[in-house]
Amino acid sequence: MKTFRALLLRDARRTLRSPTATLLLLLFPLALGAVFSFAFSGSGPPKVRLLLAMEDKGILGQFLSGAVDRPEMRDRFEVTVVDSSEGRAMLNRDKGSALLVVPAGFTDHVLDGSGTTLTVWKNPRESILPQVVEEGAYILADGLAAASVVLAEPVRELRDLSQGANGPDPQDVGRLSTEMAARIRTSGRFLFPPVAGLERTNENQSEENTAGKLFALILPGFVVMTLVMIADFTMRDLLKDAARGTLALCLTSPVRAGQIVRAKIAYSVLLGLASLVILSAFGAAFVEGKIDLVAYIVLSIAYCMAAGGFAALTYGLARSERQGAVVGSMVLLVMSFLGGSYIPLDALSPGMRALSPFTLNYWGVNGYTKILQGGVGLGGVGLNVVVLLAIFAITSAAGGALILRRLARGAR
Amino acid sequence: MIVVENLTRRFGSVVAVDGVSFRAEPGKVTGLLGPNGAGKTTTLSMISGLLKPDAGRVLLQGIDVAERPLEAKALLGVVPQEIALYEEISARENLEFWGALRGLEAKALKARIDEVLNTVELAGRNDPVSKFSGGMKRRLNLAAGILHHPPVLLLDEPTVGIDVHARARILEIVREEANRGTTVLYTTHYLEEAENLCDRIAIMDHGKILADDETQRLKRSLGEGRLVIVRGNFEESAFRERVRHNGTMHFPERGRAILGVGDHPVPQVLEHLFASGLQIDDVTVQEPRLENVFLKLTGRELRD
Repeated sequence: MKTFRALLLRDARRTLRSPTATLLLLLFPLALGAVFSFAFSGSGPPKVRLLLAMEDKGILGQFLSGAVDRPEMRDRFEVTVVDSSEGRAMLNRDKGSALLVVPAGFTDHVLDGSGTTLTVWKNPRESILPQVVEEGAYILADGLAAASVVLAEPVRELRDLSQGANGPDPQDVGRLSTEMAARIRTSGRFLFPPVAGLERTNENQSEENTAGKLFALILPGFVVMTLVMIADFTMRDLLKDAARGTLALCLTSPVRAGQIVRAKIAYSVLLGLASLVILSAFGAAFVEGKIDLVAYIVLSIAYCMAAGGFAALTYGLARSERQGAVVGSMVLLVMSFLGGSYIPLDALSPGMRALSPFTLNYWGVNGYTKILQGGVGLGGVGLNVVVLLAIFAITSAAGGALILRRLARGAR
Repeated sequence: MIVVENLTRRFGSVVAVDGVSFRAEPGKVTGLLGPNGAGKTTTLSMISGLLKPDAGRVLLQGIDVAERPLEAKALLGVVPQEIALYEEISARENLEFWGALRGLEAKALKARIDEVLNTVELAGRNDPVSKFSGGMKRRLNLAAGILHHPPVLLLDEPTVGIDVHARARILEIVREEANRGTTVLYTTHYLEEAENLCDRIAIMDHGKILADDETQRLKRSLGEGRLVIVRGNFEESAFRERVRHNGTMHFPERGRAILGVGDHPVPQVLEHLFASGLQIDDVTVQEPRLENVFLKLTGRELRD
């Protein structure tokens, strides 16, 4: 025990006397989290600069002109009404994302069912925003095609009424409106199924809050990745000690090699936990609501142990410090990608999501997400803890055995 | 005491240490002298339990290193060839670690660290070891080796790459340790160092011990009295035939002869030499030196 303590104290002193590398590792998730938060929060996606050439003077043309002026549209579209030639010229000067041309006689053609064309000119300098206009035009065309079938008769009657010399009779307009409403109600759920819904909440939240929430959302992924990096960095020290000759000198003292390896794994776990305390202190400022502290601590210990064991296995398999560093970095990159450190697990493709549980990161990210956002307790992350402890048991045993086998051949 | 019996170690097809046997006595400095690659460090690694021998055994104070490694290692102090220190922490913190590893109690350790830091002239240095010069690091390395008063001290070329002052201080400390009764095994390829420090020397080359004796007797093995070293263009047979000499004669290589003068007057030896009619380019008269012993044994010089 005394020797074990001496080995831990040595590593702690070395870390404290030369803290730059560890501090940089701790800064990594904070800096990366902050960059991501500010990059993907704030004023939302850019507006579509829609150039609208409205050549139709009919009721549908008026309806479309009115629709683009609604507040919901103004949030997402910056609409400029132009004629088609002016619109083409503006597109060439990169003054719009896309030009939508509603041709003359559009209303009549739709109501007659004789067919017409909406034309979309896209700005080649932009990729996504013109696509939005094109997709929107498709939806509009589909919608109008459906509407022409369902509402053709009452709309046609309404058009005739509005073209009369004395204007429409209010009683007729009322009757037609009731009929149109009934037709829409009846056919609406077939014509406009709720494919996707968007509900916006917390209308009054500030941009800073949005960034903070995003930071809290993505920080666990980066922290989980950092803990693996810290474990890797600590275990790598064992091979550095071998190269320096300090490991050989340790082995000439009455200490078992296994004790040295176990102490190094233990130190990587302790350093990981200490780092997590610091990172948690930063992260706490962005987490809303109460979390289950016991679940958080147990999961953290299990994760740091698993990371330490994993690093031991990496350096047990590596033939040199350099090889271990390269292979370790590559494995970490893949695990971070598949395990949800870079991209939320829900956003991964089904194929990648099937691979996620085979990564260390997954069990950490998944567990922290459940605790921080799902509000679950220890029972909710029980499986995560068990899996992480199993990973620790297997990797530390295998890694330790490989390192000891190498030490038995000589401490280099 | 160190007893090494028939120690053998192979690395693939290379026999690094080939049936080596020798003893190192308490209170004496035993040198293991040989060129780089002779097998000295491999031998030391097996003595310190870092490497398992393929054959043979090592006894430290009667304890078999292979059978009872932890007990054997508890007797050891080791000063490795490379500087084995943690550069981020101070000299005292390094010694605290090495002392704790050797089982020293906190209070005794503190007192001993003060003492040993004075011995190696590093008292008062609280800065990280990375700021130390090469000589200071070497002295601290030695301090870590002697911190726990080990009965057996192994030093693997502890003076490589340091200045004259630091080297002299290290040799003084090693001698003091031996005078305290410690068994000291000292490997070096510096002839002068071995000659001045070691009471007994085992000369090693290509994994084998070529000679093992007290330093003075080794030197006298070339002949009593002074030596005449002759260089020229001659064969051994021609030299023996034409030079009348009653003392010892060694021919380590073609064109080189080492004559032990013994009781004969040096001028008389030289007179016979020049009267031989052989082509002689250079003649040196000197006291017997390890250099000549090494030359005689291996046929080549061991350069510093």
